[in-house]
Amino acid sequence: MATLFSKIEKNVEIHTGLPIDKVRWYSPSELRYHLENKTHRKMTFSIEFPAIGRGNVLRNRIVSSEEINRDVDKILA
Amino acid sequence: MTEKDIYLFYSERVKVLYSEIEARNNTLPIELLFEIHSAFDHLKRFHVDGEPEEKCADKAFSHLKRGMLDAFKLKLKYHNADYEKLIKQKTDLRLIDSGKFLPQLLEARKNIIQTARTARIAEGQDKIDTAFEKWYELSMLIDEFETCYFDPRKIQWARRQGVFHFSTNFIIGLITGVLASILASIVISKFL
Repeated sequence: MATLFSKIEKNVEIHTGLPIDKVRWYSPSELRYHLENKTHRKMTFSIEFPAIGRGNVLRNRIVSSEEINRDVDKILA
Repeated sequence: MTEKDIYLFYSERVKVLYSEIEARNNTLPIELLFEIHSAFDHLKRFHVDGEPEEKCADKAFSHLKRGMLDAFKLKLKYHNADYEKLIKQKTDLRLIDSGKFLPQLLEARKNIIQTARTARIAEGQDKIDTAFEKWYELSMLIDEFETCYFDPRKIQWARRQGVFHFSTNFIIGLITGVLASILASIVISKFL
């Protein structure tokens, strides 16, 4: 299994554009920063249910930061 | 199993695979993050709530394994979407590599689906090690498939050839039609 996984690691290096040691070493925010610079796209979150997950995680949708800000502004108004 | 084993598994396997999923579309599914969240919560119970280390580590390990299996399934899902896009486009893939491209592509795809089925069956039978082995294999097959068959140069070439063949056939058809109508009018005018 270790040999198989080393091939997966090679592919991860291609996709991320980073050596595998750096993939392991980078913090989630460093990796996000790197990928956003590489692709010129902001990172987003998705919901993949029912393909994965058990339906117990924010099943309907995610709340955007704009919506949260709007709600907070409404409270503060 | 100890708490340290969990961090090692996370660093060696989970983080690597999650990075690939993230790098594909700059998107990270909430479901994957939730598994890390759950694993972290079990580790907390060892330090804060006085639960035995082994029990907490085992439970955290289950969540990380579930997260990895989910990541493999997502990889298959993303691959499937790319494959559908390739197959459904109006490009004659039979033109590539003297006709060898399409049959080889279909064979490779069949292999991917078969391996995924075996992985799912093993997972259903709780043979987790076998399932992981098969998912690793599947991941590798998808990578190979993408390298061999998602080659934009070949697809572009086939598309251009397709347009060329269509145009040539169209012009030949048009000329044949015009000639036939001229011939018919000559024949008709001679007999009338």
